Amino acid sequence: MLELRGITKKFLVFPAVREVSFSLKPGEITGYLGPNGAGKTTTIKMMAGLLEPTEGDILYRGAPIRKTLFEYKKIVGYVPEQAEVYRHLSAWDYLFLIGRLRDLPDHILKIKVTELMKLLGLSSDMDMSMASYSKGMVQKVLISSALLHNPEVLLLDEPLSGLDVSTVLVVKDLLAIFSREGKIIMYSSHVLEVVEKICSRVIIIDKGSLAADDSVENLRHLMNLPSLEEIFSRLVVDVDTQETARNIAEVIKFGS
Amino acid sequence: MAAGSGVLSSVLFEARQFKILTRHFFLRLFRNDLVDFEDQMKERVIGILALLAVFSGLLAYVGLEKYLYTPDEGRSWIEKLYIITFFMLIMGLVSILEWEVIYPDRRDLSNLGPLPLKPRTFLAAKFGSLIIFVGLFALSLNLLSSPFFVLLLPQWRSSSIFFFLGHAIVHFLVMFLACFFGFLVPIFILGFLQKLMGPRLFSRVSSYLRSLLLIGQTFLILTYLRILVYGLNNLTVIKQLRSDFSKAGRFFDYFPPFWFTDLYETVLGRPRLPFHGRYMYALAGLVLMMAVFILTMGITYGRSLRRIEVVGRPRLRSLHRLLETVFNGLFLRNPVESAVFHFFRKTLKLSPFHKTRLASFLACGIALVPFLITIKTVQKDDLFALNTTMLSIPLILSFALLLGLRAVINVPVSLEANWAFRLTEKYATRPYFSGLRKAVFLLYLVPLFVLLFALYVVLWDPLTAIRHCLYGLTVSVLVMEVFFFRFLKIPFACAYLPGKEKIQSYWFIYLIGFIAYLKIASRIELELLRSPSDFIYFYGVAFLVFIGIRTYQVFFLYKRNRIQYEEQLEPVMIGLDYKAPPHKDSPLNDFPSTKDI
Repeated sequence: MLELRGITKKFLVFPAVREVSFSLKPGEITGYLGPNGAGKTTTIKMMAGLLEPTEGDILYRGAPIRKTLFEYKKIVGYVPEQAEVYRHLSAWDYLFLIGRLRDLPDHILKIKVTELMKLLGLSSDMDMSMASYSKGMVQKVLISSALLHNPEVLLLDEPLSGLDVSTVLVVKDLLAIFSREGKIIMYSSHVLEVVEKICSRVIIIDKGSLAADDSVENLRHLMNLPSLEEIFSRLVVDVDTQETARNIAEVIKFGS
Repeated sequence: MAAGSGVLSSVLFEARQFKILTRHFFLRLFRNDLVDFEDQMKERVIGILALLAVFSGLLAYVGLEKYLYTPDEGRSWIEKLYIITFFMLIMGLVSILEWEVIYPDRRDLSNLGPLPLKPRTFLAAKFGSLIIFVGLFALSLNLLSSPFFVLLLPQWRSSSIFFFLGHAIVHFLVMFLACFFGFLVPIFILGFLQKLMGPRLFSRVSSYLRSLLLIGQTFLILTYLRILVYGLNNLTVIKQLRSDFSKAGRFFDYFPPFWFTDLYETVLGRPRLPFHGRYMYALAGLVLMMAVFILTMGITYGRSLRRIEVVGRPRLRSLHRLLETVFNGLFLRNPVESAVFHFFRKTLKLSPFHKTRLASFLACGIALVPFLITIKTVQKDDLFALNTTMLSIPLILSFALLLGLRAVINVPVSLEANWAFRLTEKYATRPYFSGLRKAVFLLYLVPLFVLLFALYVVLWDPLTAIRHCLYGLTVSVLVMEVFFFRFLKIPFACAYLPGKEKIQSYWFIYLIGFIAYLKIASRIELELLRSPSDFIYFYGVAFLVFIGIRTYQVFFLYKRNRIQYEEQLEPVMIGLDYKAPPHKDSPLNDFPSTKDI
């Protein structure tokens, strides 16, 4: 189990995440939702061991990850929100770099990378520099790099961004398989329909604090609302979206 | 009427676009491979321009001081030739360093492509920005030098203010044209080669071509400085020319500073130079260079618009991978070591930024070699004799290479992407650093000394060549250990705060250190080669030093320190770090401690 206990993260004095607590169980796909700047990516980066919480602890199997960070990182797979990769490298080189850093022997890496590239439709491009890749192609490389070492914990920050329809379907099915295999999966996204379909549980964060944490069915039942979109709107959205849209349309027409 | 106003508004719109784009392209010229961060840009550019202004002013003063007391009588062409040569060399160097940003690139395509922009506006703005850029450098080069030319030289011919003014206009015009010509020469060469080779092949070799040009240009600048220090008259060719200009043959035809000197004198109405007539070459050359430049820029722009990507596909992929597997099996059994090694290799192979930076260090080293040989070697036989000059060549080259590598690996290739290293970091950090050392040794030092062996085996007997290269390699390994002694970063993957070396303050000490290193190391080698049995002591001592360094690193440094992904700024004030508590009666006890706050 991966547990967050009273996590707070401050940048200078400004809190990005305030006293967030929840736990993720094996076999569970947890959706992590929130508006822009709510603190989703900061939370996930702390869970990946990339940022240290200002206060609170993250525990994996009861032990604080800051004490066993190197061991913990070995079992984590992370797909970042921003597709930051070494674009001068080819997909092959990049995946070999990550695989070797994860102590995978070359002969295993060779098979894994070749097969993953083939399955994700990147075989013909895997020797080209990633500078010439589209957003979706880079995303496929990132997903592959997160899975190379068969992680126990998967932290996915907008993993479907830029992917084509068939790959989206593949990734969804893949997450279902991983869930059955007992992996801990955290899935952060803005696409509520996808979260609603694949996640058994949803955590909603707003302005750095937790706004809701329950299964989609329970939330629907408790709030008496038909969809996750409406639950999300009720909990987090504090502006009249239709009025904002009308105002934007007016501003665009101004002067033309 | 309506059509007329439509045309006018369209022209005005285009003019506004031209103005904005010219400014944009001009500013982009300063974001080149040598400038790491934007906030460094102003400081560096102003520093370079000021240095150029002072140096050219000094050059003009030293050359023209005599005309305070004696009339010109047509002899000042030599000083003009000096200054024009200097200007052209500097502009050529600037042009080679700026090559990447001179032509439209992928960033231009992605940002400007979707805009309603006519190709002619785009190309005119690019050209305009280059004119301003060259103008800025020409201005700084002329700032302190031109007063000597426009005040001292015409005073012996006329006291009319208009004569002085006319002289000044001619001076500035010719100097600007010479600067522009100097700037365009490397662009012409590279543009011509690009057309000759085709975009695919050119994109593969352009970094190497630029490095070659950089080496050539650095050598010319060093030779120029040598002439300044030792005097032009010491050169045999000048002695011959002075006695009989007909001996020069077609030399004047191939040395552009003569063309512009002739242009200068011809426009001033003094066409009495022995090489008179070459001013036509200057004008024709300028037109030709500009034509080729505009043509190649048009082709590059057209290619960008048609979205033709020049991406090299590695051929012989399976052979590459087989060789890599064999190599890894032999030298890189640890996966982390292998990852760092190949990341280092690929980055230096594929990142133009890092390649160019390394090439600039290497260019200084390589250009220093023929420079030293021409200074120190009096007779042809000196090349085949054992002397400290010939012995120091490998030391110079390996030092420049190691210094360059040490400098470039500090600069991250894509800092945001280093999460890949952070996420996969191991407790044992040793393989990260051994991977780096193996890369430097196997990919750079060994090939360098193999090449040098091939050279020395021609000059000397094979046994001496082997001894010499092994000695050089051993010393270079120790220098590498010194350079990377407390290096706790992953190459190209960690933040870097430039200026820690404090080159501005300590350059003289560094220079003295470098010269002392060369003198001592080559002197020791000379003695060892005279008594080869003593090499055993040298290798024994070197081995002990190496083991000592490695022991400290493995048992202390790597165990007590983690990988440094971030660099901390040095404090503005360095305190004594005195932590003793205040005296029991001290008023400081009444203040809350920082912990309480």
